[in-house]
Amino acid sequence: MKKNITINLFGTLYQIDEDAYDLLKNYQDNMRSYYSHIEGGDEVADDVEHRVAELFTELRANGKEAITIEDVEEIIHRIGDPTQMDDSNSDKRDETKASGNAQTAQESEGRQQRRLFRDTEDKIMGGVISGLCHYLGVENILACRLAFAILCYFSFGTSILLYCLCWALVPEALTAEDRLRMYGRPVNPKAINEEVMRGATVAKEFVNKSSSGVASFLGTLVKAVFYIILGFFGLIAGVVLLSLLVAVIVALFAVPFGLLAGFSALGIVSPEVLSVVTGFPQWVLWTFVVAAIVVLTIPLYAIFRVLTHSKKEKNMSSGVRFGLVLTWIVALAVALSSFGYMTAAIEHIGTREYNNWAERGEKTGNFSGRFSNELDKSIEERLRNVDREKVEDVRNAVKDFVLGVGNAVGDVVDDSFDAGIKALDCAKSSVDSIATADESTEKK
Amino acid sequence: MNNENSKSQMRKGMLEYCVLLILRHGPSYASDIITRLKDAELIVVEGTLYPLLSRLKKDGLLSYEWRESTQGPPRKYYVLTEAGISALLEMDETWNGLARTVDLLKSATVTNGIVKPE
Repeated sequence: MKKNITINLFGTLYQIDEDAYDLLKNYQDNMRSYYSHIEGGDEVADDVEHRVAELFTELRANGKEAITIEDVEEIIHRIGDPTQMDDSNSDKRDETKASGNAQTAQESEGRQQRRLFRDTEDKIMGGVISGLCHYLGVENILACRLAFAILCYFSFGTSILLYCLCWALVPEALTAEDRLRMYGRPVNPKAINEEVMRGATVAKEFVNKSSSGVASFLGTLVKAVFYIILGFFGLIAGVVLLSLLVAVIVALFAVPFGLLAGFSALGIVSPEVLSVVTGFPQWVLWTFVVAAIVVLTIPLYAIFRVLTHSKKEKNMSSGVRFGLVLTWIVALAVALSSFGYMTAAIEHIGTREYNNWAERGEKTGNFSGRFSNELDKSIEERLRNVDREKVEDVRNAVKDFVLGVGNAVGDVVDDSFDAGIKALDCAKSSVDSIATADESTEKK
Repeated sequence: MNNENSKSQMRKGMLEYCVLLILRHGPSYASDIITRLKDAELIVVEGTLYPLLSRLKKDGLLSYEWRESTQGPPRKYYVLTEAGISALLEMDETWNGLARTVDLLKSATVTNGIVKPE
């Protein structure tokens, strides 16, 4: 059963199947764009449209209620594609095109302009692997899929995440022109027309095959389950790593703000002081903040674009896309490493430096040293008016806070790693037990 | 493959003449012209007609007018202009000349390797 729509050609309504309409529209758009370059070309395109309308009327007069895709195919075949139709001058053009050089030049141009699309005609789930194969020129898609399945296992499920990312970000090859670019074939009106016709044939076969909707749904389900099971054991660890990442990112945001907030509460507010007390240079903190912001905003932006992107807008060029992904990865690395440095600094260096500073201060009665001159004075002033006991309190408070935050973060990281390792052990032992079970049954 | 090309080349060359011949009896529209070409056993892809008619109109050999039809969309009726009629007469002569050449060549015999017309 096919969906049918009503179209209006020159004031007369016709009932046409939706797939037939798509084919006809492609054909007419192709015709129009081809003739847009030729003087008086619009008129030719109009004439063709008139002819189509006449043929539709004829079909109706013969008792046909709905125009099918076979009807449209026949009409296209009768009227011909633009290169077949073109007048005397183009004969020479066709002949020189057929000669070796021009044709291979077109072909290599097509190959250079190859773009990455998802091939939804040849898909198991999202057509990501097949699309990638077309882009890279790999012939054997099945081999690629098997390789991907193996990769799923060994990458702890990360490749599944990557696959989903690609599914969301890589566009689907929808029009005939898209498909030609996906395969890297030269894009000219003849090729477009052939592709349009081929697409119609494929659509018909697909409709005929999947007439039992339940069967095809189950098929897709089985394939999805297949991939998921393969990556399952890896996925457990992958999920743990993911939660670790989330914990780290949350901590990333919490730590610097917490530190800054804490220190400003104690009256020692500038990053200078912070870096001196904790032992890492100022710029690390700022680098980290910038990197963390980038890490959080790029995925949000990507998700936003995917959700709000309409077909009319141009897709992001692959260069921009690649640049964004690269930037994100670099920012993530920078954020993680600066974060690691800062926590290490807080836990160990901070303690040591703090103790040195405290000792020096007690000996000399002067709590300066590595601080800058303005700070020296303000801290001295602050401490001058405070009792000895309260100084102790302040020192303890600072110490506790610095150490406490460092420990807390350290604990989070440790816990997550523990959980991850436990999950991995679990997965490993279950795989082992399955393996030994297999062996014992084989021996029997 | 090459045969197809030559055959279609020959047909393409004749098409303009054929269209003018059809129109010499009176105005006609594209679909009708196609039907008559088919009746006259000339196999041509329908689409080749439209750019040809467009060109002939641009060159001033044809003009057209729109007429409503009872069933379906309005139709373009093409008619020969003065220039069209004289072009047709010239083509008649050219065609006759070509036909003579072909006849002579077909009926010629070979004597001592030299082709002699009868």
